Amino acid sequence: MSNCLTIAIAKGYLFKESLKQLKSIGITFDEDVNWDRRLSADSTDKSIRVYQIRPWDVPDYVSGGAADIGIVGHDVLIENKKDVSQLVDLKFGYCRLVVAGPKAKCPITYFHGMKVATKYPRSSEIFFRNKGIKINLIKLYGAIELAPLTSLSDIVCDLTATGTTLKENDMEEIETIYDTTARLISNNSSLKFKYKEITELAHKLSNLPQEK
Amino acid sequence: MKTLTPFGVSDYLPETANKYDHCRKTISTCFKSFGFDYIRTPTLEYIDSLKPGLGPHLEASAIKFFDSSNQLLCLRPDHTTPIARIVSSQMKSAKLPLKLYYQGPVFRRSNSAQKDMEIFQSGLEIIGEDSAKHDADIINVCLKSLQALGYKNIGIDVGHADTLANSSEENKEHLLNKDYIALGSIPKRGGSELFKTTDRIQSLDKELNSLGIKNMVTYNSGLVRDLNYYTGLIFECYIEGFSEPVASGGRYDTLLKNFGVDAPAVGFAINVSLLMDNPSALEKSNV
Repeated sequence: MSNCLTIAIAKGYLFKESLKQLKSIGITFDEDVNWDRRLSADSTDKSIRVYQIRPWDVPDYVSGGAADIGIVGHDVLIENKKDVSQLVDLKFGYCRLVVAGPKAKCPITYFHGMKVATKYPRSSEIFFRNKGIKINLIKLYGAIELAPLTSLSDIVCDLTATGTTLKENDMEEIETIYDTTARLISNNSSLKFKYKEITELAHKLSNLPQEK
Repeated sequence: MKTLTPFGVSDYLPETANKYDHCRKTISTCFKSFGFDYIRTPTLEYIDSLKPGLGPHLEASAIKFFDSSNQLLCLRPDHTTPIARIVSSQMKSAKLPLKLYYQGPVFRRSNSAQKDMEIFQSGLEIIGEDSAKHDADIINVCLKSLQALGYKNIGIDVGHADTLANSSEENKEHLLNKDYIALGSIPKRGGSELFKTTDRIQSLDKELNSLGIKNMVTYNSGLVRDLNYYTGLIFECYIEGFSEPVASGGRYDTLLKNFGVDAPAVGFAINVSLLMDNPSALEKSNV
């Protein structure tokens, strides 16, 4: 078996940032790799194969052993809980999962049977259950801010980095459910058989200077 | 006409069924050659009769229903607890140590369509012996039975129940969740020096050495299992190409006490369903 590590990285901002970090520890890709179209490529030194996949699919690729390791947001790991090892907080891709409601209706008091629109049903359910509030979940796939404005829901639980999109849609943040950043995760069996390679990479990535 | 099966269970058509049969027979031949006797427990149990042994995790995952007299039944969620029930009742006067092996499915609730509810296991228990030699012996039998199936590249991780016992409540949670970020560091794997204060692991290392299998064992300072009955050795067996451990086991010296018999015990189970899920690997074993 080859000692090449396979790594599944969440498409989008995390992907670009991950490539930068890999570059800074000496893992580069040929200039002609066009990541706008390519789903996978080997690093120039052939030590790493990268898969560019949907964020929500990263935990499945890693727990299923299709990739040895992965880089994905903590929010996705909480929402799509899989049996994987979490190795390093990479500290980039900072976001918050927040509760927000229409500015016109704020301040909002939570009530039983409140309709909550979200991409994050598991996180939202746990959050409100811990508060003892029974909610009706509406799972949406995008444009979450529109739900309360069209009376589809009373409030939303949505991911935000700066809060700008919420503000632009006349929404007000009520509270933060959790903070999230990118995490390096590993398949448990890969961590057993490629312990040295994976922990070395983890160590290098965790020692990078952080941009603030 | 409806011909589907529920999620979590599988039909084995003749080709697969033959492989399963081969697996089962190869493993039982190996177990017998090490002096283990076959024991069979029923598929259905009163949940109350297993309660002393099932931890909260297994009890919650058991598939339960009521019989005609409104008694709560379950499909057996593991083999070790029913065997403990038998050893404390019908086999109470049997001479210890007992060396028993079992084969058959266990049933656990699954909230994911990817996880089996019916899991075929082959495993064994040594009841009434408490020594590093017996700990090493069962690791050896586990290895030998997988090697008999033709698997190469097998690796064993060894840990100890002290890891959890000596951790704070928070860190216990982090270890069980494999959240090494919250834990603060990635648990070390290496030689027996990782457990230099655990005498039992030091003795185990010598036993593994004399059995000639030390090179297949890695000590893992983060190995924990969420079965609450482990009291000493914990081990997991990996095969390259499988994304999760194919076998696991350990020592549970207090389980039988919960059933009124003060006898130490050590054992393991091989997840035969997992071996069947990777038929290409089995083909390599010349089935």
